[in-house]
Amino acid sequence: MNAYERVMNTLQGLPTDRVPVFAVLGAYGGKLTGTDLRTLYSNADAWVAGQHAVQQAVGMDLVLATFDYSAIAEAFGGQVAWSDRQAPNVKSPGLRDVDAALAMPMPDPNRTARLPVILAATRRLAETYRERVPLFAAVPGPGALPSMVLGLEGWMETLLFDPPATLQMLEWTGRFFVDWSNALLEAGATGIIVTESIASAEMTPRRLFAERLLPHVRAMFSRVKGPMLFHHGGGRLAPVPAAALADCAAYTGLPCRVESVGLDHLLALLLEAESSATVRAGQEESP
Amino acid sequence: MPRQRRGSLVNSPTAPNARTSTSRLLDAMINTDRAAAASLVEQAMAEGIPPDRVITDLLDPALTRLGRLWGQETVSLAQTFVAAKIAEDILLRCLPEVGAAAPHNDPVVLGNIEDDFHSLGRRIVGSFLRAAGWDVHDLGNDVLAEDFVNKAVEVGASVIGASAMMQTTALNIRKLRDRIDARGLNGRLKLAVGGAVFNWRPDLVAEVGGDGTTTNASGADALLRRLHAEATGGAAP
Repeated sequence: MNAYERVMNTLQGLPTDRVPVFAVLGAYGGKLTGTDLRTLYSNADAWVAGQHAVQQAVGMDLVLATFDYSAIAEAFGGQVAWSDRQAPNVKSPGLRDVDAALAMPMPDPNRTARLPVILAATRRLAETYRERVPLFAAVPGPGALPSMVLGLEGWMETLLFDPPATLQMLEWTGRFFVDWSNALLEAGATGIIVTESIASAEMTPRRLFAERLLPHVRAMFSRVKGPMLFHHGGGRLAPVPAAALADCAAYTGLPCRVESVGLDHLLALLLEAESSATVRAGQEESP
Repeated sequence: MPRQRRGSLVNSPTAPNARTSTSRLLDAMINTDRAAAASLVEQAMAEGIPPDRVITDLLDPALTRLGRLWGQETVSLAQTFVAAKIAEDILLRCLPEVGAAAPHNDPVVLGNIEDDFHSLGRRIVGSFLRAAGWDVHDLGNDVLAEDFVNKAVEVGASVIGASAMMQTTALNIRKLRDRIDARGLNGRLKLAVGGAVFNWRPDLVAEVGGDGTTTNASGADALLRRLHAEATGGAAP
């Protein structure tokens, strides 16, 4: 059983030979290839070489498309903070309010900023690993994506105190979520890891997420044309939106299984669960 | 029977008692209902509660209880964000009328350390500190060690609060520790550190040379009071 079969069986609740294992090793690829981080996250060849090196060194059950949320913020006019010690970060959001967001053209996955670079790397990785190792791309969830545009404080301010603007913003960024996710899938990604950190108990109270964000999350999920894994973003997943995931499952034909674990539980779970293997994601970095 | 203070929430003939009012304010924070909080404050003041009592008898206990809930992991960042906004609202409403009885107003310098751009936690801490009477000088994101120290010297602060979300950036706080020591300010200028990574790795506080930390925004005032007292050799403000 190869990594692709192992992960796909896991997603469908079928037997596997062992638990699929992976860690988020993006920047580590640059270390292995001796590539500076700015090049790694700006050049498709560099990212592909980094993932090849990670596979050779560690041999995990997953290959990552370029994991860099700052590229999304950049596509919306934000500034990127480059570092030689960590993945790029959002230095400042591009837009100050919802009106400014609605007035700007929607970023084009094939043309805007570094988005085409990510798609190019995804295509090349898909060609190399097709049906041998699954290739997943991480995308911020529909509820969290506006924070890439307005900054977390700006999005919190909107979400908590301006319901009409919240709906407008969700609708607008939701279009990008769908376009970007589908572009990654068309480029060859096996599936999308949706990091919906705003769904966690640390970020929002359950009722707020259920009332203001869950309907939107459901609507957006139903428009993505491939498998999605719902990631906790490092927190306790509040109401795991089973209904939303059901939409995804209905589209893909895959029963979506979701578990939220902290790294401190990972080892114990790996030891315990041979017959009920489940994909779990740790965090090396938080772009 | 203990004597009740004049003009306090405790002895107001019409206002709910202090504990009930505090609970209602806490409910507003938990329910992310800023308008309800504002109504509660207006009601209290309309019924003759002095502004300084609104702060000490209503706001302070609510924030303390919110901090306990955070410690129990039962409130979220969004609720804390709203609580900070409510605290700012109450201060803006009450402080102009407090006048000479204003809080201590000691300066403190805040900022995210070099290479760190996760500002929300710092902003919330700043709101809580302003609510507690500190004169907050917020330097923003990506602040160099030298700039922290220069500002602290300029405004006469006894405490710097440095924030970092991730371990890679938290290690830059060590440069700030070194800069404080190199300028001969050790002991007179205290270093408070905070951010998500310190909650996960408390040992990191000592590793970067911090003098103390708090796991949540509502604990920032108590931490800074302690550090201020240590730095000045006097009583906490």
